[in-house]
Amino acid sequence: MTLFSSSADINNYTLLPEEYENQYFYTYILNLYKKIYMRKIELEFKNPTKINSARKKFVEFTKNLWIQEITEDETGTLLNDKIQEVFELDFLYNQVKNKYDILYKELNFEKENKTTIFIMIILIISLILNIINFLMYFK
Amino acid sequence: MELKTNYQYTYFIHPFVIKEGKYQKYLLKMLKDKNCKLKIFQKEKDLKLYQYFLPKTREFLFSSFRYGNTKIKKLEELPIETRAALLSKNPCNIFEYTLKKDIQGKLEQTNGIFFRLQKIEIICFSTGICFLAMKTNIEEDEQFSNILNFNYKFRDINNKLIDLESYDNIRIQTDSFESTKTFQDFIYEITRAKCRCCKVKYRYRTLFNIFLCMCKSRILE
Repeated sequence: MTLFSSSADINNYTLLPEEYENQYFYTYILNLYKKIYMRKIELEFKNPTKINSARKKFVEFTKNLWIQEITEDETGTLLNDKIQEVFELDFLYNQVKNKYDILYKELNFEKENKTTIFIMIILIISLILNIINFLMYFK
Repeated sequence: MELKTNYQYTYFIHPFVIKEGKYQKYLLKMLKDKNCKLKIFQKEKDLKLYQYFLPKTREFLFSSFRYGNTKIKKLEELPIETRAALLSKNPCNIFEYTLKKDIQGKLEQTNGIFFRLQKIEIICFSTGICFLAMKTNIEEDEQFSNILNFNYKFRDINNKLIDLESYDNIRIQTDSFESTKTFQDFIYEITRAKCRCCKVKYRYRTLFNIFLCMCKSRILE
């Protein structure tokens, strides 16, 4: 990210560098952080032992950082949008979100599967017990 | 027609990652380092920063805004381990690093582009992702081409093959470090934590992103 300005306006080498060194610098850092963090979560999704923690991290990230507006300042918002565009954050987020959705559905499917199997086992056991009871009754 | 500058600076940002579970130990190491100081943001002092960011983002990046003077004093009185534990709960902590100058005075300017390391910040997020941000400034040099050369060269300062890339004939020098090797050691010390108890794992490729702010004076004939 580069800023060129003319020395014709005194604000350009007094106020503007200070703005860039503080507000816009931390805006840049925040977006860089988002990019690296999403990459980190994406890597963790590939590790079977870390899937659950990665899912929670992704939800927290979306809730606390992704959907939040950074500033009401017009220039700041434009700059933030531009940085997000350059870092391809939307594309990266959608990529990670797709993986999250697939894993979430798979997890739900496995949970339902387990519940179904559990119910089947209970039904079979009840059936067996009923048959035994029936036979004992007629004896 | 030579392009000249009035004032410029460049920030170089080096991201690094701390292994999960070692973040608090890393903060403890930062607090123990006498060259390192926790940056406290206050509404009165950093009003523009306070007003710029919305509350949620401000709370995320600059937790110290909600500290009052009493709380800051209490925090400083606490044992260092307790302080590290408390700070590790913050989503983000920012430290300022003060460099000791090893060499007095400048080397011959004819040898290379002389730069100064004006400021070093270490921005640590509780997820383990950290950034080493270095603010550089080229002294007594108005040539725009030298700024570009410097930025190009400094980007690869942490590259072990940098000495082999001298074909570009760009030399840079400073009074803050003896050589590229000592500078690389310095970066290693910050990003990889020379500490027996602290295993730092660097997972991502080195990224040096340039952030530059420059004022251009009138174009001279």
